Amino acid sequence: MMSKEHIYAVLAIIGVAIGIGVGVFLACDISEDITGATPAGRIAHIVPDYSSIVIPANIAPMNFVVREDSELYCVRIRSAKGREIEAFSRTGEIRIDKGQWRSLLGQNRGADLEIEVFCKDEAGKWRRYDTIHNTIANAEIDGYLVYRKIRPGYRISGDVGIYQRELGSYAESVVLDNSYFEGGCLNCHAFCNNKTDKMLIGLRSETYGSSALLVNDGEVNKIGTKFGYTSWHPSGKLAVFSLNKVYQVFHYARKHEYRDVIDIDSALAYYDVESATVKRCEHLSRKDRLETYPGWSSDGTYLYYCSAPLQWSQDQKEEITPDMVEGVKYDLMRISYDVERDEWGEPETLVFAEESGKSALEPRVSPDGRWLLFCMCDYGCFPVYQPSSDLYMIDLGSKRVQGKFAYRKLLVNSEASESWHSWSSNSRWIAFSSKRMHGSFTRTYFSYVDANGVTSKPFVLPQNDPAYYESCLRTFSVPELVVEPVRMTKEALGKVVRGQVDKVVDMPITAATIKAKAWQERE
Amino acid sequence: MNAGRTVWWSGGTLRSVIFHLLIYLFLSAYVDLRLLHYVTGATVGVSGFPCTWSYFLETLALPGAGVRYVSVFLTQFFMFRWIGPVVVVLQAWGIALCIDRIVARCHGKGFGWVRYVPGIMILFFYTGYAYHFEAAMALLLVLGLFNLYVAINSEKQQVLLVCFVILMLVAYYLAAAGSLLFGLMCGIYELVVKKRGISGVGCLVFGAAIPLLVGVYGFGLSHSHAYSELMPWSWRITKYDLLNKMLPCLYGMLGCVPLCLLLMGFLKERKRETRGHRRKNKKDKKKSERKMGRAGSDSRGMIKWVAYTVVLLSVASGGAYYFTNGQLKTLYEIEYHRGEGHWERVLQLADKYPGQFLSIQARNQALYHLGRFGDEMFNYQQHPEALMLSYAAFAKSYWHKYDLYIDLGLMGQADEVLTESMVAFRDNPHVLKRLAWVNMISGKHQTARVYLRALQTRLFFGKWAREYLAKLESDPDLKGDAEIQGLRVLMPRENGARFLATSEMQLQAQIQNGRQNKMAFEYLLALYMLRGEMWNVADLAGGIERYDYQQIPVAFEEAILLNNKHNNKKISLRRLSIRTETKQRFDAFMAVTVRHRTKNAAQAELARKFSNTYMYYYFYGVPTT
Repeated sequence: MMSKEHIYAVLAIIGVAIGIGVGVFLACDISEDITGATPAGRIAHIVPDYSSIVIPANIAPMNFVVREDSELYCVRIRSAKGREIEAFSRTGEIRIDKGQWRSLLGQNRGADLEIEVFCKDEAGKWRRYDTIHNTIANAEIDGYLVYRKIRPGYRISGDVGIYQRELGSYAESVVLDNSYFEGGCLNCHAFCNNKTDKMLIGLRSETYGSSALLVNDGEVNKIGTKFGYTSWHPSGKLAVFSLNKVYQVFHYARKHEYRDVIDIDSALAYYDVESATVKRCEHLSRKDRLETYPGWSSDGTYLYYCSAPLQWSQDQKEEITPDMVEGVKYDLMRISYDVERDEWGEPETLVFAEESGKSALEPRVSPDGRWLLFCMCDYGCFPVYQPSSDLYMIDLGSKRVQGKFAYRKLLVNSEASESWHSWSSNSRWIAFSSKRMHGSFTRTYFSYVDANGVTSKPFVLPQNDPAYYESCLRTFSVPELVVEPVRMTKEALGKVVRGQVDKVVDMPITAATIKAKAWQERE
Repeated sequence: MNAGRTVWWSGGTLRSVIFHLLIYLFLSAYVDLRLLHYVTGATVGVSGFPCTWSYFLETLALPGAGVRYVSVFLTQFFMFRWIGPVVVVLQAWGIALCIDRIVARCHGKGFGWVRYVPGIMILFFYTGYAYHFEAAMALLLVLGLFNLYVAINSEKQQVLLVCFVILMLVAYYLAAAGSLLFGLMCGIYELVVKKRGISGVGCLVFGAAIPLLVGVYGFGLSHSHAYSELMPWSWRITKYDLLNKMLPCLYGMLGCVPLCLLLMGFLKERKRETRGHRRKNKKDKKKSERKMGRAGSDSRGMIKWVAYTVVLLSVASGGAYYFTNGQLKTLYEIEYHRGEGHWERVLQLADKYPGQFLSIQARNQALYHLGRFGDEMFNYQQHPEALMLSYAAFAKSYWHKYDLYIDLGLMGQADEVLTESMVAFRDNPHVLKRLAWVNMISGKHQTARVYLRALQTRLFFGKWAREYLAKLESDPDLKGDAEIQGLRVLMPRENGARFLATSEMQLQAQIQNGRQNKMAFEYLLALYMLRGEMWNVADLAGGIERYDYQQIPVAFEEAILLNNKHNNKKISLRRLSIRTETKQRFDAFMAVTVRHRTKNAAQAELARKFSNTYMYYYFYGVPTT
């Protein structure tokens, strides 16, 4: 039994704690009356730049930092309906209440979203910056984003992981990281029809070998070969993947990006899920060309891919020069396919590198089948290391002019590299990697695509800490939008990686092993 | 009798003070823990302490949170020569005190020496520059919790088990798989010391199950992660050469207490069997008191104390001597002093291992900074592959190269090797600082800002980062920063037609950009000289007059003379001339070669008189490929 003294002591402690809590609450309540603020005549500088953008109603609160000198900051967010959100901050960091944000956006699809920023100067006077106008889209974005997070080195893997982020909140979880297989590298991840029931992940491990993880309707298998860039046929019956003989080169004298990756040799092959066999198509594995980046049309009747003439013969490969590398430019091509008969048609070229003067890469067709999104850069096959890489689009529904598809550069581009793009399941949103904000570090951006294929100003993936990206030493690459979370646990995936290969495949083609002087092979 | 006991314990305390004081002095004066902190390649795990809530919350999100967070915080003090060892010694002392308490509670007379085992192992780690601070911290934590457990004075096994589970949960959350040690110790204690079978088995079972329940099912960790993190069998330790060295000592440190408990229990059992319990206790008590009394008063006690102390210190110093790695230490010291620009000290250290490629590379860099490279380079061993550390074995030794690349203005290469170092050594603050620096020189300010902002949250690095962030705000091109501008002009001009994959190509690019990169010129000329490529020397050496030389460095003079003697393509100089004494030395050298007729016959005399000349290197030192 507690004595009376003890009871009094406990009550006293509780009382003091409540008192302190109330005091802290009152001290933190820094709201002020800001009526009568004088106009600043411009919009406030906010980071990340969330101005003049189109946003999905189901996105997490877009917290930001106001980069204006001030003693106190106030932000008001409002739309046609619902309660205005008001947030005060002494540091400029604006964190928006999740419930209020969700309610406001949910009630105002298709309407404007206004952000008003107020700053208080040393004299205690408030300035009001011009209103930031954004638009809330009618169409939602897919609920999840799966991406690879890695430090920007590329010889040593370090901590590499594939993560998934719930876009309606800040919840991020590991799909698989290399701690599950004692270090190594995780490569591209590919999903079928923006769903996660079918998934392929390529990986390299010193301990457990190079392999691909095949997730198929709740079952995970380890395929005994490394898959490069992969695209699932919409039927889920097969996946086309690239075989790349990759080398890394360094243009040390370049100011912006000295790193580069080239394919000494490459080809496409496809994995038949049912028979667990790898097959080849002659057109996709020509000895005189480099084929890579497969991307299926939404109906599965065409495979889009990139192809460049091989610039070097077998006996010349040791003498490859930078000039030769910079001369490699990929055509954008497609080839028809009948999935029932497993028959391939004849290839056709959509964008000729000779005409564009650029290298076309990473074709991705929108799920509605109308738009073909791809990137083009000055040369080569690795756009993330090419500052010249920009996103382009072809309207596959429009008529051809003189037998050719017209392509156009999108408004989402910047001076830095744009690449690794993907579509949302409703074809209204694209996610892509860009280096516009932090140079060597790629970040994930989203842009709204309207019915005419016009893209809106892109915005970066929101984070709970609005200054998160400013000191984030990881890059975000291969952002893939999916409608559901990856349900296979990381432990289950890791266990399969550590286990035996259960799908042994015979490769019908091999990438030639080539020695290249003074180039260092990827680890 | 009490007085005797006090003196006996004072003796133990005094021994402990002496022991830990000597460890402190040894770590401060000889080992120098700064090397572990500063030298990028020395260890994995010194990552800088970010003073941010996000780091705190991120750390808390995984088992091992407490140990990792505290360890990252405390190892920051390794930056300071005399403070870092205080942290280590306090850690060792804390472990010793915990063991003392355990031994006392278990009535383990005769097991007092165990208190020194972890300290000795910690001494061995640092002597061999092996970083196991986190494992030692995990040990300290679980020993503390074990003390709490043994202090629970309950005979009810249910109460004990509940307490155990609570403490085990705490241990697992704070020390990850280090908690297994806690479970093991509790199990042994209950089974062997206390003879409580149910509690003992319960401790072992729950101890083994909690990582599974909490780690695997709660935190979603892999089984291997849940059962190995912070322990010697973790792949994070076994896979890295820097960490997996001295694993037996690590096992010794962690295993000594469970082993001690086991022995104490068995010995107690044997004594029980041979004597009546009460009688024995009385007798032992009297005997013990008599001994204690004697220890303080008679000389035998003093002799015993001295002998014990001598044995202890002998074991510690003998082991430390065994694990000392002079070469490794010297290489770390070279890296440290090179990073600090202590060039004279680099020269002194390089002399300890003159033929080691890292020594040669650092020494040449030091000689250049002291303005003596061209004059004195052949006073020391040389090798063309050591000049830029281009020898294949060093292809992945990124952290040995960035300072030289920065000096040469090769910012692309510096950025590359620094980035790889950052990946390998997990955001080491010294690497981040250089990355920010290199990116500012390169004009890649967006990237530089990311590094600076990451650095500004690091303890002891924030001030520098904030200063440069402010500079970037007020002077975006950093035109007012003379040091950055001075290095920026050395950068090669953009030229898409070259990969600059070899040292030669890199140095060529540096001198062909018309930017008076004297260091690149000297290094390229030296490279050709070291390879014995006189045709390249002839092409390059004539350009020496474009640089601000008042006098041609001796080695270059000798190379010019040698070229003009043997090569059809002569080097002609207009402004500069070759010193008379160099010509005389050259003529004398040639006279010896003529007199002996053959190269082999002349070597002994030439070695005696001209071993520090380029001529001698050219005839006898150029490595055959």
